[in-house]
Amino acid sequence: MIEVEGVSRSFAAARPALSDVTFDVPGGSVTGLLGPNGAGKTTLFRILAGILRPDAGRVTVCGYDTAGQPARARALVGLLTEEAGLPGRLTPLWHVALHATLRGQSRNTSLMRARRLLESLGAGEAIERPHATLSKGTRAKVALARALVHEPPAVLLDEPTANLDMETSRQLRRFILERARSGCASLVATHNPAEAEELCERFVILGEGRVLAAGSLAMLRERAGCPSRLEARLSGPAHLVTEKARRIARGAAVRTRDDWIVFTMTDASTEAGSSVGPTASELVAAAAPLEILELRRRDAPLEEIYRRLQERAT
Amino acid sequence: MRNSFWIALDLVRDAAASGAFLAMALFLGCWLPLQAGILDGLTGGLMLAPSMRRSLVMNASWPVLAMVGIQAHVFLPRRISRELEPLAALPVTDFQIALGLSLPVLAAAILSAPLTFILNEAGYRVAAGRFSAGLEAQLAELWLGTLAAGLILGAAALDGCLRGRGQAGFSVRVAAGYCVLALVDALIFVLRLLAMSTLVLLALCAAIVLGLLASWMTARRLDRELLVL
Repeated sequence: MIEVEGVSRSFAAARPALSDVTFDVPGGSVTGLLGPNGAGKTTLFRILAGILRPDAGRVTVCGYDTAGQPARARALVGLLTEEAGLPGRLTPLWHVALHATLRGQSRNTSLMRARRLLESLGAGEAIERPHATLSKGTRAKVALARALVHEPPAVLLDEPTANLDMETSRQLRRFILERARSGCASLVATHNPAEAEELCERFVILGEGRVLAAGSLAMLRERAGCPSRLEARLSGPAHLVTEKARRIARGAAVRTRDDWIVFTMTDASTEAGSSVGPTASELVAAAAPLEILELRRRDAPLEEIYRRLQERAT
Repeated sequence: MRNSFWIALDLVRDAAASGAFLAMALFLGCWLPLQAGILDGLTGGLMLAPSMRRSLVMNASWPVLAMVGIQAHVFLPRRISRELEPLAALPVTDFQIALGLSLPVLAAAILSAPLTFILNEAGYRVAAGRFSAGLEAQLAELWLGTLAAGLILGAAALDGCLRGRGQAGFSVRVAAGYCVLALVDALIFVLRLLAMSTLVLLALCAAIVLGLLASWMTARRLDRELLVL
């Protein structure tokens, strides 16, 4: 749905803001964009939205080139900017309807859609109040309504839940997931790895303007070299348990912690049946006649993967 | 044109919702020319009022105030608080954005010049009970001259808003606009020595050329990227 090929962009600073960035955002999914401040996330969003031109490379939205057919491409994208960007003296209904009108809808349709969308986002009571008087959460909902009022097939959300309370964040996440389920391609920039893990199926990690890794969590784990851990508690004499564990380790590091045997696998591809470390089912089969009392899998969380990738990049 | 109209209407609505802008416009833009006319009428044209009334600077005060007010109260804060970024993401052309952002300024310059003149004359009539002599002769000079000055200032101020990184850059541009205004005033004074028909023709030509030049400058300078960087 959104394809980014070799995009580069420089400003006056010595280091390019973006350098040879390549990834794609398929329809019907939520892709997370993670990176530290200054990594180029906002610049990338502006290029994807057709506001900035790339120095090199190509961006297509539903097949339309943002440089060659900017108006067509922009019509298919909904952009939630980092700052809500709502004029303080104007009201949500006017503002959201204006954006729908500027996207080619009739005035009546614009007003109707704006009202319906604001109400569905839970901002119905505020539609006639000036933006300056609204809470941060309501302003975020208005900004999201502005991005979605034309029902775009691709949305770019720059930190949609930043500084919001848990309930509002949860509402917005649910809304984003509903949109994705209806076929929308969503790219969400966030500084919150836990939220990204909950919301996204795919990830793009940016560092100093470059893509450090892109793909599913398992792919990222493999790329970062983060260990997966399989932890088992077996019944039986300690020496027998240890001996058994070593025999079935298949290249994984084995250590004991309290009464747990921990298999640490540096290759996360065990999920796909690779040769390093035992799978859970292999472990159960191989442990006999000892009994496995407990078994748990501890994969590296996104936060650890992200930290490793950034450390490696610097 | 439809998109530009809506962009312009958004700016006007925002400006109209600003109490400070309305107060400034009503007090300085409406009261000042009315008061000057009243003074003129009361003194029978003997004191400073006649020269003030003939001055392009006074008659240009309304368009300048309206223009600077819109820029200072709406456009500049919007740019600083990144409210123009969603606008830049819309499927409208750079020209439509440029036109939409310029329309309120141009409309203020075009419509407020005769309004200022009417207020000035109304004040004069209230005080003196008569029209000033040679009203028709002054109309072309005041209106077209004011229009030309407004267009030049509009382009300069918009350019300042887009290029300037803060109030300093904006102020410099506005000051430059006032210098241009003074030059136009001097030019009009010289043109007054010519015949009426020649004057009208020259003023029309100047207005067209300056209008086109101002529009071209604005369109050329307004790049989508400048709205967000």
